[in-house]
Amino acid sequence: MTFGREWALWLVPAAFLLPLLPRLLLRPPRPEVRFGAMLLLREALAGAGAARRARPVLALLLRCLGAASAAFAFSDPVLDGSSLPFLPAAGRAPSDVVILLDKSYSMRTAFAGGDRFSLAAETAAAALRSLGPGDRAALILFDDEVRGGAEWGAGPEELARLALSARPGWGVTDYRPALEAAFALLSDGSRPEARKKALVLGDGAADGFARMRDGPSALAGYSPSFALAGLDFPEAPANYWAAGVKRAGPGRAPEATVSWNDAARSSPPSHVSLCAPGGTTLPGPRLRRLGEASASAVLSAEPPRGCAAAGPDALSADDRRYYAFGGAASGAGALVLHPGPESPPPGGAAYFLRKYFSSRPSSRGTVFRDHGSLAAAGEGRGPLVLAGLPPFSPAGAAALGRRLSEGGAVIAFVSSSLPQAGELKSYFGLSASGPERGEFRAADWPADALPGFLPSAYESGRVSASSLYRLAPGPYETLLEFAGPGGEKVPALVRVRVGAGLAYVWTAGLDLAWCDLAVKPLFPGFFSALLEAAADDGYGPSGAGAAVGAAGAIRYPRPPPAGGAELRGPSGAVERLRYRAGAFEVPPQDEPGLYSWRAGGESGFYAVNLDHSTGESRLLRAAEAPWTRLPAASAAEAALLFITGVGVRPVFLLLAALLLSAEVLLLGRRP
Amino acid sequence: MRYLDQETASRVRARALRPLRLAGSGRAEGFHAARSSHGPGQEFSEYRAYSEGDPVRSIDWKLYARSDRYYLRRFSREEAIRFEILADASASMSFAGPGALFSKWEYACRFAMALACLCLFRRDPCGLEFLPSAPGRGVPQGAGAGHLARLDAAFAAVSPSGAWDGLSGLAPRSSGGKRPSLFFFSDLLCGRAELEAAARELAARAGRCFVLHLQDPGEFGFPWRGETLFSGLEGEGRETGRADELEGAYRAAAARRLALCSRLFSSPRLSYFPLRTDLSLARNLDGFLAGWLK
Repeated sequence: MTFGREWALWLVPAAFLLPLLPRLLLRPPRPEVRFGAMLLLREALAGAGAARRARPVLALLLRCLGAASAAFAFSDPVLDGSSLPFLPAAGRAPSDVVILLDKSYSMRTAFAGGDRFSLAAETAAAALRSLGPGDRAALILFDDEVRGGAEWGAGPEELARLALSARPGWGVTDYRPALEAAFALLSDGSRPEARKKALVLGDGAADGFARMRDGPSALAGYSPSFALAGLDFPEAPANYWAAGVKRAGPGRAPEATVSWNDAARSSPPSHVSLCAPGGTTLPGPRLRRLGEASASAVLSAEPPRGCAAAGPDALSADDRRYYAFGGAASGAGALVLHPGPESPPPGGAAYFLRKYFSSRPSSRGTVFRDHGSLAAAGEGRGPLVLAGLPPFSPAGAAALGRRLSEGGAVIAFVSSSLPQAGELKSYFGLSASGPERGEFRAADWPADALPGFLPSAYESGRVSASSLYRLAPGPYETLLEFAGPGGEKVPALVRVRVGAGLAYVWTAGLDLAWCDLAVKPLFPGFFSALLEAAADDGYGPSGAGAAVGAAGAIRYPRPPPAGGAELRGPSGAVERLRYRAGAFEVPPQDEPGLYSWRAGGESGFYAVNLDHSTGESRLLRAAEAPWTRLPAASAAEAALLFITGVGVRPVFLLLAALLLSAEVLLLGRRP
Repeated sequence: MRYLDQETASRVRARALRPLRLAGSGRAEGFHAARSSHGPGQEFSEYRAYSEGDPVRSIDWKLYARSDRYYLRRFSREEAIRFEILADASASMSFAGPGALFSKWEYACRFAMALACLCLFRRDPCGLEFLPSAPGRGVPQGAGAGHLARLDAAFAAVSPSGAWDGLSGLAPRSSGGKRPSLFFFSDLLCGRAELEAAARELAARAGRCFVLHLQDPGEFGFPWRGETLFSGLEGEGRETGRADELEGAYRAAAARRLALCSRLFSSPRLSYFPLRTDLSLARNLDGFLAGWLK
């Protein structure tokens, strides 16, 4: 005999003792009567007889047995049909059995030396092989949709082999489509004499019922005559996963967020590691607690793509979070153009920019003395940095215009040695006057002017300029300002959209003769944030990735290369990508990992991650599954009983009713 | 007096003024009904014509002188009847259940005092004995002034205790003389053999015996409910049971007991009268006097 709710067996002794408690604990005070006619009383007692005196005890016993019987019925007992001598297997009614095998990724959770899916598959095979010649079976593989099966016809042995050869996928659980498919099979009407049974071999994940609030009875095709049973796994141990990775700031190390499923029972993960695409595992950092079940950790500075992982736990498949920061494609570094000489003299803009890139290998930048022709414009993938605005040749000016119109980004520092007003107008549409001399000091620079740049961390007010171009009001966005001699505000850094691209213009130049920004401590942070903002906003491929099963795109805002693009998955499979509307379309991917793409001479990474927001990683067991629960510890036996067994719950319910009715009759009460 | 109030005394005296005869008795007896006993008495009764063989001493010669006829003078003799009150003072008599006006003992005392008042008013001597008997507890026969007070004091001095031990402890019966009439007050809660023995003893001891059976409404109605512990007043131990479940069986036993008592104590010499302690004393008294004394 098995039980759908084995835990409810504990209720049986409790239910038996329950009627006794009021008699034991709440025994009413027994009055004492000093009585004269004891002779008559004893005669009455003798006349009442032993049975009459035992009646209260008998009634109490009946009540206890009735309550225990009801509790036993609640445990949903199933009697093995094969063990019933009056119900031989050959004489059983034929059965239509649909087995639903859950292949969501939570089934990868370790269990009893294997994983849940292995147990479920073996249970399915055992159940299928127990079917008799008059039975009919179907196997439905499902996660959030039906992945296979859903039809009669195959033999039990073939279905058993199919179940054993299946592997769990990376989808999440949704019982609704699978049950609807099962009900459609069971209600086909071809064998009305057959007993209809659906065996759900999943882990009963709570998130699987999100679209089935009203239970199976509300689904299409459901009939109350269908017998439903499902595996019941014990509560899973703690599960950890890296929920996200973000950049803590330009030029700073990435920061991983780690979550886990049970704040009450689990402590933060013992380690968070960082893995590079090559398989290198970097040491785990210290965690900073964020909430009850989440923490963050600042990872080591390299690499800008890879994965963070948290663990160890029972479900290692969901531990990793892959990431590839946007704009981080190879060859997409900044291109710095300056007018020369080849080795810029100290104090000039080109000198400071070269020094910046040479001191930061992680910040890709190439400094060219090619200011006049803009010949190198096509080679650069990242932002174009202009150390001064020269009068470009027509070809150079056209190249700059094309770069901007295609969505590229330009960072321009005006030159102290060349008149710039005309170039500001012709290249960026900015009306400027000057240069204007005076004493300009940085005004209160806001924290959100450039992502990742915190002026308050520095003495930003000590930045000063002696000359600048004063911009007339126009279609630009002022990010930072100077305070003029009269206290008036003058734009220092503006952002202006030109075509599809963006241009950042610093109105005071980087030459020490005009502005001391380049020698202030805040300059690296300022320029790094400026580069990041330009890289994110503009030129170069981007699109960090998508969730498993969701379509994504790699933004490529310029004509695709002749060979198109291809995506290579973690398993080595290559897939051609279609280009449309400035991006390569990435079809839904079924496996998490760090995918690599290549388009012409460019390459980059595309992260595919599990969507932890579905709750699948929480491994929460539904408190009340709408089917008979078969204990996973004895899954095969329980499944066999379900297939061949006979539910005897009504028998015990009837017994409970009879016992309680007998008690009422015995006590002479009217119900 | 503790057990006789003025109203009750007035009620029985008014009844005593009327000629009373004992009911059910073939010959005149009791309550001054024995006035037909002619002989050497003190009071003139009647004249009767002389007939041969009559004693010559009885002829009224003065009347012969006036009427020239022989008449005999006849005198009557007052024949006082002795009454004895026998009260069961076992512990069970102290019981007073729900609905009872008094305990059985107090009810018996009041009823006995009313009867004693009646007897003494008729100048019939009346004595008192208690069961279980003990030397010095009873009151000897008497009819004089203050006897009623002595009876009341004797009742007041006794509180029910002990168990019923039959009538064996009473003083031996007088071998000669007229046997007294007896009022026996008891709840008759004893075994059947003891009851039968008591009936025989009463019939032998008394000229006539009135058995007044004290019945408490609690003991015969069994009004309790739920689990109840009953402890015997006469040391019979304890019994526990659900009173409401026992009620039926108990009432049947009580009815059988009443029938038995009524049968055992109804004979030419024994008269049975139930005294329900939930009824007023006046009602029971009227019923007793109307039913048994005519």
